[in-house]
Amino acid sequence: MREEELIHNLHQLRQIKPKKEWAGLVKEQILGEQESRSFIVPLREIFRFRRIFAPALTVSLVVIGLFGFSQRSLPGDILYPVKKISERAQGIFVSKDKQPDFQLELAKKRLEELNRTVKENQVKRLAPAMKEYEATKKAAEKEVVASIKNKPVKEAVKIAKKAAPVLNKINKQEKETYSVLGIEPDDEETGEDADAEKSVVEYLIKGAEASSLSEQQSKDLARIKNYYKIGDYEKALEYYLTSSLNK
Amino acid sequence: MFRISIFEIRIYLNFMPDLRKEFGNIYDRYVDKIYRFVFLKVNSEEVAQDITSETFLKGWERYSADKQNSGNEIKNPRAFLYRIARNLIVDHYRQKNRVQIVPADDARIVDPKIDLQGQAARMSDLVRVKQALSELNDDYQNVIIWRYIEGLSVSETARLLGRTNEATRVLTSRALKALRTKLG
Repeated sequence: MREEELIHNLHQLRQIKPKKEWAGLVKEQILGEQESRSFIVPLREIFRFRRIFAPALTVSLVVIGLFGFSQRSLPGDILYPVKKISERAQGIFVSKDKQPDFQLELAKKRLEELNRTVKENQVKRLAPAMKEYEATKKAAEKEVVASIKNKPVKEAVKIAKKAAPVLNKINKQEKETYSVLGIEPDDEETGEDADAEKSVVEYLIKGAEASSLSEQQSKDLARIKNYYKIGDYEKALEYYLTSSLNK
Repeated sequence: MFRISIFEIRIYLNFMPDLRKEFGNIYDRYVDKIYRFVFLKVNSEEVAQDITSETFLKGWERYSADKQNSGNEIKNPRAFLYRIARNLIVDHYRQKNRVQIVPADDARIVDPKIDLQGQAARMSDLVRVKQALSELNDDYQNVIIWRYIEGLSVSETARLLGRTNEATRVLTSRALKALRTKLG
């Protein structure tokens, strides 16, 4: 047989295919796709079906149970990584524009954990809880900055207005928790940490400047601008939220 | 008291149908290829069906576990499924106390039932080629199936074989020569 002839014959072997009915049946049984047609399932196939779904059901129950119990866990607990995995899974399904809110909520959660650790006097868990909070807060601030950057002013103002109360709440709660511990929060923020509050305040100012203001609002804006100028973004943020501009 | 959000439950429950759909697409794409690959090596429809279904079953277990546990995706489903199928073929011959993968070219793996069919259709070139192919060693069979039957490129075949492109070219040439020798 010549080489060309042999290769041609080899190509022809592509005609070898499984029976369609068999292939369909196996697919249904492996993937559990129920269709409304009846057929006699061979014993061997039933065995396979059970083999797939018994472990799958067990795994499902265990996973759901673990997710549930892990929600109360604190940094340093065995189930804490499960809690973080479930949060990461949630993060996958959150759209890009909602990521800052999602990350800020996570930072709030980490701070609540730290607060609980302090209140319950769980000394051993204190260091991991602080570490978790600081890392999550940093990630949230980074996300806020990233979401504001390169956005049209109107959109950036909207994001800033949404992030402002959460950031402020985190700042307040952080101060309270750290004061119980007798330590000062790390105020010497640099780079993205400082940028989050700076960016938010910057766009709050831009938003206010773009609208017509009353006399009181103009006064408040001037004060906020002053705080911004001297680099006290936290104070500027706090003032904005309690001022006439936030009405 | 613990709290589990509805969102978390929804994520978990929604995950499985998506995974099933994804793996269903992989199944549709590769079931013919895997079946053909197995059939050409075991020469029995029944055994090929068993090994093929077991291949996809194992594939699904691993695929769903990997996705749920670590979110990792199997990057090359084709290589992944062929690897499972090859291991199952080896297990099959081991269990049956048959030796299939040997360096010599003349190891016979033909099912007696099929052999009779083969004899009945001796005049058919196609049957002769299939028969000769089943008598080659494992590497020669693989390279011929992937290069000439499945039409994979040299680099794709090399990846499946875990060899360099050059080594794959040499192997292909030797395999073809061995097949022609078998055919006389």
